[in-house]
Amino acid sequence: MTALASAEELPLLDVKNLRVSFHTAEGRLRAVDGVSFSVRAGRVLCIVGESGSGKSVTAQAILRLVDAAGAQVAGQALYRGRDLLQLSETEMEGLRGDRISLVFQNPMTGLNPAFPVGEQVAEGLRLHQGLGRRAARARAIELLAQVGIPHPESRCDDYPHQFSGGMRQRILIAGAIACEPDVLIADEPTTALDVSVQAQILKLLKSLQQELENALVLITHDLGVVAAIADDVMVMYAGRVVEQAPTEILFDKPLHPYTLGLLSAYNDGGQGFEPIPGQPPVPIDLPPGCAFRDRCSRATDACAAEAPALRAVATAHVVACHLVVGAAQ
Amino acid sequence: MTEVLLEARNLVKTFKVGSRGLFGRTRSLRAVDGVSLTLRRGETLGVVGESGCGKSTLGRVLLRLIEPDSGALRLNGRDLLALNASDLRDMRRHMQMVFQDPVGSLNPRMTVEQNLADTLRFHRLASERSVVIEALREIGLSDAYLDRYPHEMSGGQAQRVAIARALIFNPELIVLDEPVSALDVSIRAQILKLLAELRARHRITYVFISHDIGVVRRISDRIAVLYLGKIAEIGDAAPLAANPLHPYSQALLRSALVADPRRNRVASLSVIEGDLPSPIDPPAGCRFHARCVHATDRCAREEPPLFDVAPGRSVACFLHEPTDAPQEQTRKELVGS
Repeated sequence: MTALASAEELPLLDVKNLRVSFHTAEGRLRAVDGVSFSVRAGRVLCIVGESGSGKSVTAQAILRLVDAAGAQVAGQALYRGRDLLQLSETEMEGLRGDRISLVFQNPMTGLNPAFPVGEQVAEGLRLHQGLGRRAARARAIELLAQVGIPHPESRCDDYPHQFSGGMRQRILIAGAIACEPDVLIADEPTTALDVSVQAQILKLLKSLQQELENALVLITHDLGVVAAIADDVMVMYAGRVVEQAPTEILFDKPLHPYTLGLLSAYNDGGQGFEPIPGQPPVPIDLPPGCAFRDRCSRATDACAAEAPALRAVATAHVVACHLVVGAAQ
Repeated sequence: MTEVLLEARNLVKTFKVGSRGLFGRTRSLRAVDGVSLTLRRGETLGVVGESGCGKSTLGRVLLRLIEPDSGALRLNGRDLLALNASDLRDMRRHMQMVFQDPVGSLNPRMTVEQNLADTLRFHRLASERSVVIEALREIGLSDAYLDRYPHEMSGGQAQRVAIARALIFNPELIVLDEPVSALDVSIRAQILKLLAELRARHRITYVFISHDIGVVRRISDRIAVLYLGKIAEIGDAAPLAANPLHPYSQALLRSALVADPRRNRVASLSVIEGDLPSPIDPPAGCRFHARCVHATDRCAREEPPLFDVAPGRSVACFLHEPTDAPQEQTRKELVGS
């Protein structure tokens, strides 16, 4: 078997040309439009974008959680070579929460208020590993301890409302890692939290990832979070990838005007600073050309004529911008 | 710049919270516990702290949207707490508030024009269309937005309208409670720039409340760090952000992320251990002592007052107690007075 050798090199998750569109009264909304990326074990990929950029829908589509009427999902999402989008619902249920897990953004709604937290953490263990009530409870206590909940033996029977927001987020993470997933997808896991708690949660996610040696996909709008935890970064705008690079390269040499704008909006904002004007378009019947051109100070006629394709400008650094690629050639 | 606009002395606000069990006694939560502040005209005071530190309650108490239990509050020398309902209503034109949730803070059944005109009518002012259009132009929206409903706008646009509503009376003081927290990064930068322009144009005084010290330091002249209802540290923004003195301010600044992978990788992030203690039973002594790396026995017993350490800079920490401090007995008397 060469499986062992190739498993090291093969990405755990390999998404190819993912497209998700929704039916709306105004027309088809192309929420995700040709997104490709891959993550290997031990790596952290951050997907960055603003509201409506398609970053959360990307995660939901991979986990087959897009269920709106008239929604269409196309492309491939390969987990260890198997296309998740082609699996039967039963097969998918076997993987979801076991090999691939999701941590939701909102620690208030991600937990069921009517059940003790220990039961919720243990749910996956009982479902996927067939643990009995007692064994699952013992493991849930271990998991709660692992994510830093004090006095896990007694707090295991408490309800979500008895915990702070940061503690609830830890409990959600404990549930998501219960079955030691190969791929953990976290959708804005620190957005609702105070800065001091945010640092704690990021540290926790990173240490768990090192322990489990899995792949972490973290979705965020916060470039500070990206700088802290990402190995690789993918920037999304209006459903498309506009730039993708290893973290240090992206912060040192950002090339897409949108990435540049985001970085200066985050870091500076002082006197003389020009924020990106306007707001992102809703991706319904977008005219041809680059979706960012209306907000771009450097847009030319070429930007209106044709949408720029993603092109490599250096090793592992790709960008979708006519100006950048033109300059590089 | 030195003209005093707002003066708050020893403000206290306690909330009664539900008892444990049917026959338990009601407990009280001291959301604001003896806060004193002086705001000079045209300056921006940033108020920063974690959720539950009392910063939103303080913002509302400063405008008397929440009645304080005790303390003194003066705007332009007038005693705000002594005003009757109708005088207070007139006074509200001079002091306005902008909330975190821009869409939720506008009436969803009214268009932008109706929302703004309604505010004018409430204060018995002429609600002509031209006034509304002028207010919109001020915050960078065209009259195309007059007939929009709040849900038809993005968060950034709705926040502009909420700012227009606060601005329409040309107020002297605006309390902004997390005005950019719900907005995307690129929109956040637009709103911060707009606020800075409006301040320069109209010489407005802001109280800018946020949990995000990164945002607060960008817009503030001075910063007050709040911890469990009390000021831990207050001072000019640049020196405070560059060299925080209170261990809590230090920890808060250290845990704020910057967009630079060389400076704050997760492995080297320092974190404040533990959660914010409950404001219902705040710890004895210094409220931060259980989470503080420098805490001594004294910090667990005795509550540090605000020590003046430099002009305009005060810190509530024994580490910064002036060395020529009077004896304990007399110092307590001074603090009590």
